[in-house]
Amino acid sequence: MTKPGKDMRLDQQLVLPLEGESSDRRSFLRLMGFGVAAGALASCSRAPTSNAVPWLTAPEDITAGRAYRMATTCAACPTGCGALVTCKDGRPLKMEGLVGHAVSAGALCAIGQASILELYDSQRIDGPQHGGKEASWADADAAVIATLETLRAKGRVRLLTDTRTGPATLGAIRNFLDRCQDGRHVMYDPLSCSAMAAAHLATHGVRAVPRADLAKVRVLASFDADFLGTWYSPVEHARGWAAARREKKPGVHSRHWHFESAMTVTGGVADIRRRLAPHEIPTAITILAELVEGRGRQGGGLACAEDLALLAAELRAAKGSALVLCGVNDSAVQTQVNRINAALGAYGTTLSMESASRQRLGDDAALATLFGELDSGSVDLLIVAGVNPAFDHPDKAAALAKARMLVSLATNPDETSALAQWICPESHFLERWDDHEAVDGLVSVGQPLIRPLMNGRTLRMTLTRWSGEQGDELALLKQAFESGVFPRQKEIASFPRWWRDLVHSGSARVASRNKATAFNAAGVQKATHNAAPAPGAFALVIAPKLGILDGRHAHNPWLQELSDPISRLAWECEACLSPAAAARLGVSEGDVVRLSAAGHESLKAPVHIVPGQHDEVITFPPGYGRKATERFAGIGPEWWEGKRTLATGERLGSNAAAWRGVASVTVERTGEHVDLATVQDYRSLEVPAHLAPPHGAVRDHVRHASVAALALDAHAAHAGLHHPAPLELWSPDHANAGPRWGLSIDLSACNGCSACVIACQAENNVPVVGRDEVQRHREMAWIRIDRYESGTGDDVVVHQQPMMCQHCGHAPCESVCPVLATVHSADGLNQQVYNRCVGTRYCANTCPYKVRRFNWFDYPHEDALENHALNPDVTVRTRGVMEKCSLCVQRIQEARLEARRLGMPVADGDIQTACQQTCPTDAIVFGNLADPKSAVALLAAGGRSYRVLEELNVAPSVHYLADVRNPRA
Amino acid sequence: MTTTSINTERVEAGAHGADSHAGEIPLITGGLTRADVTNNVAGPIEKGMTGRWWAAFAVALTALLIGVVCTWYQIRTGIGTWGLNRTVGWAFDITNFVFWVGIGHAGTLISAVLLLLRQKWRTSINRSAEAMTIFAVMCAGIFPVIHMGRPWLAHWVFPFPNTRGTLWVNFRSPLLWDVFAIGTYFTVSLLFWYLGLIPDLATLRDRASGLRKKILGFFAMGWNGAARTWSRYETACVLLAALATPLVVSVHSVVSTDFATSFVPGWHATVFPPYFVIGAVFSGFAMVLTLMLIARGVMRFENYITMKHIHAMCKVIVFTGSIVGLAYITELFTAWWSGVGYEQFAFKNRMYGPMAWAYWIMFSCNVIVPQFLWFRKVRNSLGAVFLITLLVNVGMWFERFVIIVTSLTRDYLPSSWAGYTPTWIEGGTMLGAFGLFFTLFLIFCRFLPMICMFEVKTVLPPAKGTKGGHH
Repeated sequence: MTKPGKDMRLDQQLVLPLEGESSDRRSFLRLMGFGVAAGALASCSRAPTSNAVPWLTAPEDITAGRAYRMATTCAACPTGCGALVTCKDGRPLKMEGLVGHAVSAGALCAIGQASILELYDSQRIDGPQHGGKEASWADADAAVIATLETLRAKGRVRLLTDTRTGPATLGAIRNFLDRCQDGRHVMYDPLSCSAMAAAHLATHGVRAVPRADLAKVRVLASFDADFLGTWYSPVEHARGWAAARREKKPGVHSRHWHFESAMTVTGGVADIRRRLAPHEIPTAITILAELVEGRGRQGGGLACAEDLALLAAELRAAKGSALVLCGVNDSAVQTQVNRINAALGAYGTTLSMESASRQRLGDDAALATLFGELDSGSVDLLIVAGVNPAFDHPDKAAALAKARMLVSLATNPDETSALAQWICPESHFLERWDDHEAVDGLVSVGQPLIRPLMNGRTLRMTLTRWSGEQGDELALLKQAFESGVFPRQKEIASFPRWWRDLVHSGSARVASRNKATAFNAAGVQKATHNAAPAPGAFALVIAPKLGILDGRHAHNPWLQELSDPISRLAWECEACLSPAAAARLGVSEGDVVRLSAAGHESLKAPVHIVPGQHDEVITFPPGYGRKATERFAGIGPEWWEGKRTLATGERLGSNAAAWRGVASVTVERTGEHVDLATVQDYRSLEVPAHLAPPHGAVRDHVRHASVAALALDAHAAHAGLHHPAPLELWSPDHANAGPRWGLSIDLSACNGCSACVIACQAENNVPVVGRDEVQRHREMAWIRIDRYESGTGDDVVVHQQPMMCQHCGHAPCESVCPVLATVHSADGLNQQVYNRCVGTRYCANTCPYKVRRFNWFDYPHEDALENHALNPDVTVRTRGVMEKCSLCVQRIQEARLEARRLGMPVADGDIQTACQQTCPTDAIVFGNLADPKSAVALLAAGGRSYRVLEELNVAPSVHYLADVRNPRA
Repeated sequence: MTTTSINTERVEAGAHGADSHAGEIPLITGGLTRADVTNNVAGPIEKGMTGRWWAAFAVALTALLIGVVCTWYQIRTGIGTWGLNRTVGWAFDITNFVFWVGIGHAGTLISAVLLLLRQKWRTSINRSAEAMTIFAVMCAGIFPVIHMGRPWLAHWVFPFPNTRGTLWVNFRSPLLWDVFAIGTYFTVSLLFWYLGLIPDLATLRDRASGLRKKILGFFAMGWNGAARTWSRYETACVLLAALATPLVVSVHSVVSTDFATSFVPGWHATVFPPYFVIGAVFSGFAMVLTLMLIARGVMRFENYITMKHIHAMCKVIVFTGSIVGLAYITELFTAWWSGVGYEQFAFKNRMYGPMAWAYWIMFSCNVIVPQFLWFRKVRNSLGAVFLITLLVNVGMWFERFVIIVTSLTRDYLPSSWAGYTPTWIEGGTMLGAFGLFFTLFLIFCRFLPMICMFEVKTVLPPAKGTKGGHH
């Protein structure tokens, strides 16, 4: 059998050879036909074969072309969200949130959505490698076991992984290490929550990160914790956060205070946001602790002292439903936070130690010890899985090489695997049996949805083999669960039944092994006020970017092209400065600055200016500076003036990992400038003052009101807006029995997490176009999240507005197309007929929302393996045609066909668009606007509802619910 | 080129007219006889190519080839080779389209409207102006085709019976109206021009021999100069003139609806049809004058294109230029009076936004510069007139650029505002259109009579020693 690879074009695999390179309708159909057939084969064989043959013996439960959905657990990060994977013809195509899952409750983040693409990454390591040469698993096992034999008695064996929570995995690790005299498992998280765990060890006697239930929180204060974006469980937190804000009533709606140095998505949606330099946070937390305990201390030299006093009063008043979160990785500060939460009665109400989070089990101290051992050259065997220490700690790369034997389990070549003698790759989580216990007492399994595309093996199996044990992967997993997990529950007596339920539903509740322990004030440590940066210098904040995070998915083109919700940049590693700081340095957007500090090689990055950032802070994202693979080199169109996104081996940005802990940096202009690849040039609803029309400079695309104002007037968000009732050309007596599909988008729930953007990309085969094209404003995303900022300093107000085709009832685009390529369907959809489109772009010009996207080039689809991620229900668009949001018409069609088959009407909620399905805050609701009882119609009829640019009388089908904040009166 | 102009009465009236304007510049100078006219116009054609012609032709052809290469590359690679983006879907393409359609207007105006207004001075220039119309419309017609994402499907914009089921074109789309408007315009202009050529082709035929005579004879359609031939010829011309006259107004009105019926602030204006028509006449006359000044110098046509012609055209330019200025002010007034913030912003943005330079180039070239033509001294200076006509054409190109690009860059949602930078491919395509235009024009100059001989002969001043204008 031939393996699929980059060097093999899809059309070469066809029985009928293609002529030329054009992708006309016929060749497209041929490709699609092949895709379906190849996908079918993929399910029953290791990889697509070179001949397409009919399915003579069809698998019993698979119907060609029909989607089936399987529950599993997302392992793109250790958070352990439940995922429901849509498969067609044996191919997993789309990850969705698993409804009813205790962590993610039906949603998935952008990274989870994007991880499906990594399954089809042709750059993944295909089988073991020794010194850069391919080897067999038998050779690899023999080599490692031989080394282990020599070490069993007195060698130091270390296993370094990211957070692994699965009981069976941890059991296999223990079993493996127990065979060595000196074997130890070290976990670390590049975005560490180690201090939180350490602080709880000090104050509660348990090393754990508590689980926060934000749905119960009425007053929430966050200090540098980006819990909606990049913290340890963003989907779960976003769900809770939104739930506490669903009722727009004073006293019920939560108040969210946010203190931070950089601008984050969480800060952007806070009710009250104050800027706080990183060195001020220990003082602020300490003052707040004292205030909450009623031992008022004022001042502390902080600008926000008054706010802290007000916050403390609010927190005290909301005891039992108040919570303080802190993202600072400093255990002394975290003990102070524990002190506050204990005083507020948060433990047992809004914070749970009993069912603690296991999503960040990393221990920085253990890692430091390991590095010490490595430095001294006393580690004999180091096995690295799921982390990239040579990248996360570049200063320790030399020490890693000192291990007598370094084995990397990397799935893709990385900085650590480059140092390793042996690479024994792990499989992708959609190819393997997996187990998780993301929260104490919540076990979940991941099931394989496709035979492995690459010759990888799970960590669990690899260690089992190296322990000298044989056995089948599934059998061993079941065995481990039967003996270790199944007894932790009493409801179901039969293990096979329990196991079947577990696999079917993805997760199960079992008894927690943690005990709630009382707060012990003796564990609280004094949080010291850190030194302020020297005058003229900046405090450096290594601020992760949503989508890239620590860089473990940096090779995923969807995530690289995802425009950052804050900076709106794609394919950029940008340093952020506040407008005042930029003015002080004399730099403007895109100017390159050099960061330097004693003992560090200087860093260079282009500047992005962020209103609302602290004036003494410069941020730099982690996770950049990874070497680009061939995959990136091939991205984007090639033409005369086109610039490559990245050449193979070139680095995107710089690695700032070594700068963690550097408090003060000097920043200087280099005089260089780059034109940043942004999807949004203008970030305000207020037009430039000198161009403002006489009746006001602020546009009303985003309407907003406070909770208090809404209590007095349900229509408060529309106050002062007089839009004359639009005239109708047609009398309303026109019978329309069918549905009118529409959306409702709650702006108060949207925090910009961008899960919808990637979900749409995966569902609708949206191409990746590369940095140069993004810079030319030719990004293809069908849904975008517009970001509007206003104000300065502490008073910056941010609004996020998801924007997609509004499916106008009187669509301007429809009347201007000369060839009727965009038409209105009977059920209210604005349809784009790719076949018919000749590409005049008139529709895009006249679209007031600018949501239409044009195929400027034939975007490369040359990676045969990657093409398997394409959704066969959605056309891959050719060059020269217009495209845009279809409201997931393929899903509507699927639901309608199913309803027709069953002889029942399509019920409200039967159809979910991809963006709606994955939204952690349920901001997006799809449904039939013509049915007054549908959820979307009820929302559209509410007082907060409005339509963007409705005064143009285009009759959009997308309703927005005004943004609501709950500031102090 | 008219039927009535060879009417004896009118010739006398013309002669009378010349007399009554004694002291003014006559329409045709140099005391030419009818034989002189034939020799002067047909002579250069029969002599063959000169070095200067070849030099000019080489330049024009090079420009055309650059355009061909750029267009070929663009069609092969994708519209992405132009500087367009998700916000600005049209730029050089439609700017050039409207620009060239506008240029074409002068030809029709001169042959149809000035005929109705009995402006005798048009006789020396109408042939070239009509040729210019046809070439300009050809240049214009290229852009809507190549601006398509899939130009190989351009035939889908024609409503013809097809095998694609009930699929038809969208009669509500102004782009479709364009197809009809431009198609009609091109057809009528071409017929009108060719019809006007027939008597002159016959003259050339009669002077030629061999293969040349056969070819010219074929195109002269057996013209024999008989009274009956003239009579039928006159009838055909009247019919075509009647057809062509409304086109002067309709074509650019329809083109303007591409914008006026759309939602984009800065496009959505009821003033557009008259504003576009007058702008087209303005730019067309400027282009005619540019070409005539060149032809006059190069082809030694000083006696045919006299200062009187130049003065007349200058006056049309200053008149239409002032109306264009009025239209600009009307636009501003309408935006202000509408009370619509988006419209008001669009115009402030034109004047003071990031692309204000384009607006002020447009404004100064189209409104301020032509005002110099009020002065006889300026009109008498060929250099100054030439410069002004060039600037007017620059200004009119920028007018379309400002309307299209500046309006698109910043419309409703500020999140989608974007800039626009053309690529070299786009520039090359624009250059190619000029190359095509001048290539065709140079071929025309060399192979066909640039001046309508039989009509010029009707406006000759009575030669000394003859008794009047009887033919």
